[in-house]
Amino acid sequence: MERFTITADLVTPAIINTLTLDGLLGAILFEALQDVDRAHAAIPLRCRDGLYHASMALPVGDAQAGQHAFIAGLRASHDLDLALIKQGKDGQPHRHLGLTRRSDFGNVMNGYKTWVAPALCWHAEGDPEQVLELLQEVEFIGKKRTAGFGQVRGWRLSESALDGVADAAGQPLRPVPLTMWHGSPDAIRADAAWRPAYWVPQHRAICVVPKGAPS
Amino acid sequence: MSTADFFMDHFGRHFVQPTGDAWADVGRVLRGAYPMTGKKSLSRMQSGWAIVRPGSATLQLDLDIPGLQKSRLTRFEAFAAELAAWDGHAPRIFMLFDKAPNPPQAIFVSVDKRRVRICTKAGALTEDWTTHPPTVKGAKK
Repeated sequence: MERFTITADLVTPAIINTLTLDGLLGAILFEALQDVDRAHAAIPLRCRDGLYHASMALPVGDAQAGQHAFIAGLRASHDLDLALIKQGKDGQPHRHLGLTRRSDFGNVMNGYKTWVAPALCWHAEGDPEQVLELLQEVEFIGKKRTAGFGQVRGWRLSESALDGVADAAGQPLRPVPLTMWHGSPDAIRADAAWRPAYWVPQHRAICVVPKGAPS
Repeated sequence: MSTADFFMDHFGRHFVQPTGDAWADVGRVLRGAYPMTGKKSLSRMQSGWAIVRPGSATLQLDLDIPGLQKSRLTRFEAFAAELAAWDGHAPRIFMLFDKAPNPPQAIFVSVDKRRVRICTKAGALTEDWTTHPPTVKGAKK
């Protein structure tokens, strides 16, 4: 197992939250294997008691946080199938759906936080060659990839002194459950997912989290 | 400590009988309808706020649920008072209710004043109480 840093050179702003390297690799492997357990078992990183030695994405260079809003618009008379609307006892929708009702089903605005940075990097411990091989074909990361966010120009490997769990000052590089944390005692504590799949609430615990970690 | 277990132990058990699947129970509590004080009608938790602490919980909505503290404070007043008195270590859950029920996965415990999470129907809002203490919005000058 080697300690290494993998860097993604960005072309466009990225929309990411707590994107850990194990989470990213797990998603890539799942696409190929279509099995959550097999995908997580195949992540080529050191894993101790379920905790992967892999940091969250860290912006490199002159990074700025930004905001981007998308409006999801429904055209009521074109996009909504009446079969999707809850029906009353008589088999008809509760409300007549027409252009005048458009506002009831209309535009929804979603706000996203973006990272504008030359690159993102992850510190980790594992098999760097396998990690690079998995990431080589990845051209976009984060949310709203089909809208052009998170475009990656290329991936670079370099050596690192960090194990992907704590930095040189003893602060966490990723969510780590309190029971498994041996670094700085003044690290920020939060209820966070600490192992993949990160969207499963059962995978959450009281953790130490990085200072600048987005929510 | 599991978030769902904490929610059920100190808040949810007043509403439903725990089944052993704590996350499913959290969803049942948040979606359920309960009798209102002095009325025959049922109401979901569709407005107001709640704060869950170890051993006690406060609910603004006037539901006829024994074991819960009631409060008439606004959400801003209640959260500001709770945060000011909080040691920043003992777990808290801060919840805001709206017409759509809060999803169980949006329930987070706060255990640090630097990462206070307000649970809403659209997810959890995160604030650093040490640098951004809550302010009462819409106050008349």
